[in-house]
Amino acid sequence: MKGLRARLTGAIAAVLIVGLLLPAGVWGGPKSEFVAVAGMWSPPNNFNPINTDSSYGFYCVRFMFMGMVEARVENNQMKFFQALASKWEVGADNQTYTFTIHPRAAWHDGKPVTAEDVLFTLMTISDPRTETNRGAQIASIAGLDARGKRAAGAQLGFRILEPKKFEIKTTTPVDPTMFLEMFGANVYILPKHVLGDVPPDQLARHPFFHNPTVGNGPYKFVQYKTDQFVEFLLNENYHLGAPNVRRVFVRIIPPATMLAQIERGDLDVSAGFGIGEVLIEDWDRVKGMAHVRAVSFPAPGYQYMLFNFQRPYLQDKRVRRAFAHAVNRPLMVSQLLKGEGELAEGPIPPANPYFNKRVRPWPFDTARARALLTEAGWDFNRTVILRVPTGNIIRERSADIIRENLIAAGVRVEIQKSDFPTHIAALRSGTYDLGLVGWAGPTDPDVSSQYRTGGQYNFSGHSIALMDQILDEGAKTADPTKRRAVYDRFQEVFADELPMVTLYYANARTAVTKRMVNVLFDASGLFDFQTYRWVAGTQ
Amino acid sequence: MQRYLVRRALVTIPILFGITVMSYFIMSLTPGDPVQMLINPGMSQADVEIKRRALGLDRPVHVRYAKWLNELVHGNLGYSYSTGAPVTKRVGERVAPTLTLTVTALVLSYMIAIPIGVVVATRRYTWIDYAATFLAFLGISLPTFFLGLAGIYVFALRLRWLPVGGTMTLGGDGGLLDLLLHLILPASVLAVAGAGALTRYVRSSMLEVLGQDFVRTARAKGLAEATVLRRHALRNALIPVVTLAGLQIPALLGGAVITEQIFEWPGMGRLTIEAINQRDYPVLMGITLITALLVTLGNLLADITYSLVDPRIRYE
Amino acid sequence: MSEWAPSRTASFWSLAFRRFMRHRLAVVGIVALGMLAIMALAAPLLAPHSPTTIDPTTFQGRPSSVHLLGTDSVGRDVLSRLIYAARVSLSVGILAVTMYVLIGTSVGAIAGYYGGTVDLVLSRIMDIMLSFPPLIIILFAVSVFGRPSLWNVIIVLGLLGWPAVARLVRGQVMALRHQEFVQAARAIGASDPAVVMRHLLPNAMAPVLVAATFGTANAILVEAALSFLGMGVQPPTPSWGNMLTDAQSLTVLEQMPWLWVPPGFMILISVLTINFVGDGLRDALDPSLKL
Repeated sequence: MKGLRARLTGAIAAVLIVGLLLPAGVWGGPKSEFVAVAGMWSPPNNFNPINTDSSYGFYCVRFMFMGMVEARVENNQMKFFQALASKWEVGADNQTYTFTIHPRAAWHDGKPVTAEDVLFTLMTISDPRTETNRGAQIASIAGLDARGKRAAGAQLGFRILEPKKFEIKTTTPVDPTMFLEMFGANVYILPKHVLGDVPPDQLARHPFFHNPTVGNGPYKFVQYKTDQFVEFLLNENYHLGAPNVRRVFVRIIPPATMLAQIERGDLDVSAGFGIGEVLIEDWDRVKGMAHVRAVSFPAPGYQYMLFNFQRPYLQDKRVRRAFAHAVNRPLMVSQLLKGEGELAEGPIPPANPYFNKRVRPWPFDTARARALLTEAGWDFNRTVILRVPTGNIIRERSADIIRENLIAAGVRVEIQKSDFPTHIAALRSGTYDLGLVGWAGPTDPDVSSQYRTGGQYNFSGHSIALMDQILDEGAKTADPTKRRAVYDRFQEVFADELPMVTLYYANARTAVTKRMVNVLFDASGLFDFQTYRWVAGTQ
Repeated sequence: MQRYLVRRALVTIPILFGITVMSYFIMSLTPGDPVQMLINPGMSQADVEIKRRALGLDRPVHVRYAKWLNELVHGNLGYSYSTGAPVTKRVGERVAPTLTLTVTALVLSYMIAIPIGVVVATRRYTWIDYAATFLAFLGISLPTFFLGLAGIYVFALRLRWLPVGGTMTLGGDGGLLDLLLHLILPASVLAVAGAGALTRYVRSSMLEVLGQDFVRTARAKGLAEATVLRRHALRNALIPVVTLAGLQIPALLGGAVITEQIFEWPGMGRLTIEAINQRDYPVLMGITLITALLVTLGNLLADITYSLVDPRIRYE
Repeated sequence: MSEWAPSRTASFWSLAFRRFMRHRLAVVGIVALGMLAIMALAAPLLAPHSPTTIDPTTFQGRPSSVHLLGTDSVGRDVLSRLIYAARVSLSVGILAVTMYVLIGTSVGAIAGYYGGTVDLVLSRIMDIMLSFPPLIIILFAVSVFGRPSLWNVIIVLGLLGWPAVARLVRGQVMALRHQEFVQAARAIGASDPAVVMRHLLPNAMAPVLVAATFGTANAILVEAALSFLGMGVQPPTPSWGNMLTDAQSLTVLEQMPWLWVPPGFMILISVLTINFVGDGLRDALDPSLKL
């Protein structure tokens, strides 16, 4: 009996020791120079280049599908780089755009990418039966209505000049930068020879978008392990040069454990602004890691507090300015964001070429807020409802600060926190006073969809005639210098009218291992810019 | 017994029907809308309207439900609003990973709980009892996300024995050993949380049985204590524990939302929360239907097991 | 109720009380629980600061002479929030569990005692309730009650909890109702409610009490999970659960214990004491356990 027990104990100990040592050998070896791992917080819903519903999807799509150009903001200037197009020309009328597709640009199955594919993509997006979210990107093209759709019998402003050369006409002259960003960088081209026969109303459910084996980008699709990772393999024939990194994994990692993955070296690149960042609590620690570059940069997104304009008591702009004075925004940047952010009064980011430096945010001044409220006849017994969506922990914390600040200014506040769909439903139905939302848009300064009367994302339902007039002028103006003047004016009027209070522009807090070279973020702050140039060294 | 089974089976159909009606209408009452919540500067107002129509959201609820039911009768659970993939595929691909995780965790928790529960019950109010009680409560009172993070901190970050998450090594060939390594942390976290409650359960059930006459009779007959425990006490004490296992069947398939999220585990819990967050009604209906089916089966099994372990229960 | 001989009832409860008092841990538990309750009630007197006031100078500040347990992620005093949180956490736990134990016990007892069609119908209702994934029930509660609140949490927990209790009671009652002492009671003319209340329920109560004590602890944790999903107690009201959600970072776990140790400790203490009390109650109420 004794002997048996001793032997059993020995066996268990042996199993334990082997079990504990074994995994240690499996991990910790040097990372191959052929593999890179990127990490983002949530899974992509599909890989449909014209319909994937989030930045998570587009981050993956852009490894496999390209548009005509790639865009990046450098030194406050929007710059364009070749992608599928090797050349693009803007007509003197700012209305005619000619693109030449790279002679070697080809689909992953070897067929050349042609002007026919571009036409097919535009016809698909503008077809009123197609589920897509690219409609607004092409709305300026001639033959389409303002919502990017083709009326029956309308002729698309598109002409095939040569198999790899085409010309697009816009309805009116437009700012070429705007057109290049919208159509050039944000419309990814679909393979006509694969999808050409699919009826438009069945495209969204087509299995191709879960297994997109025929792309045109630097990487080919290998597999998607649901909720875990997407695997890409290099496209040796990529027309701008075969990628250096042979295999790229985009891994889905919850925010809380991203730190562990970075520290262990499991992760090479955090995907970027809004979809793969370092938690604020973990930021100092990541900055201290020897093998990692902690990269923070101004991102094109902001958080804001909107006012419900259906409430008569919020229609007085003195009240709105009082709220702007009451909220301690500097505290949010210095404490909640640990300094990784900026303040601005308006929807044009400080890092944007169109940002008006002369417009300063209203200072934090509780006394001034109280005075303005009194002047506007505010009822200090009224309780306002502040709606807060979950999903962004810093924004949730900012709500607690806003509440305390407003109470200090004499305004009673009740917070109502809910999940995002409920939150948006509440905003749409107008059952709130104040609401927190985040926004990240293109570099183009046309913010009509949010701030024009009746705009699609004008949640607060405001209608400010002067602002409408300026926004319309800005959208119509094709000359970049004149346009800048219009939007300078817009930002001044915005700060005066305050249809919303801009809370902060948070920097993107990202991490890239030092073995990775040429990892650059694009115009939207994602590390998916020219991925074919990524180089991975050994650890 | 046979008549009882037939009756149960017949009752199942209207129940499932009722569940689908209730779920469908609850979902349509829930604030939020799968298209309204999409906020994308590239999406025009026309795109929004097209999507609403394509998903059938422009129709009244009862029409949508009728259409859904009709499809169901033809064996089609519909397509996910969010990904466009068939619901059967979206739900189906989660079954194996979910069961791998939850069944492992369940077995682990029973392996921990039954012996401890029995030992503790026979040594009531000794230091072993107190220590086990304390540990059980510790297991219960730590929220899963906390336990999970602590596990990752110790075993994945500090000791580096185990991977942080996922079910397989990136670029590896998978394989059983690889899966096991990835399974250890999440399954243990779930098991610790479950074993705490279960230990207390076994203990209490055991204590109750030990006080009953037939156990005293058995002892009086001069049977060895081990025999009394195993043959008489344990068997009876396990009845409520069996009930508990029956109750856990939907939970097993339902997955573990937080554990799955922390450990990148592609389970049903994560799908449910994703579907709720995206108001992906067809997927939610698929999950509800499958859960309901399994619960019904599970209950039936529990009832049958019941009558097998306890001759006192009779079904007329 | 008239069948209950008054003297017998009195002696039963006084006996139970004496048995309970002999269970030392249970007494300790009830005293501690009482202290927690007093803390909850007297929160405004005990808390050194307001639970919502922000100290702009220290966010996630370590414990100091001003903030004995440090400050949280928006610069609020952790100690004060801890004290106030007792209100929410305890009332959620106790109210929700009371609600579902009452419903579950009655439904389970009726189903188990009468059996047949009654049982079939009630059991199917339980099945339906258990068939919904819990998250869908939460959605349901949100859709019906509009916006998240303390009561919402309690109702969600109640909806989620009662069928499990009902099944448990049903199983116990079914197992007991054919036993001699029940037959005997019926033979001497006891009414159905009397048989159930006097003979069946006390004998079925042990597992329910255990389930209830765990339920209370669980309720405190589910409240945390609901807060996490944005369906819990609304900010800035503190609960131990939502205080713990501050600890969702490995750095906090490692370097800022004041953000998670205090609420974690309070949850542990309340769970422990509630369970000790449950233990004692069971011993006291179940005479067959007197060996």
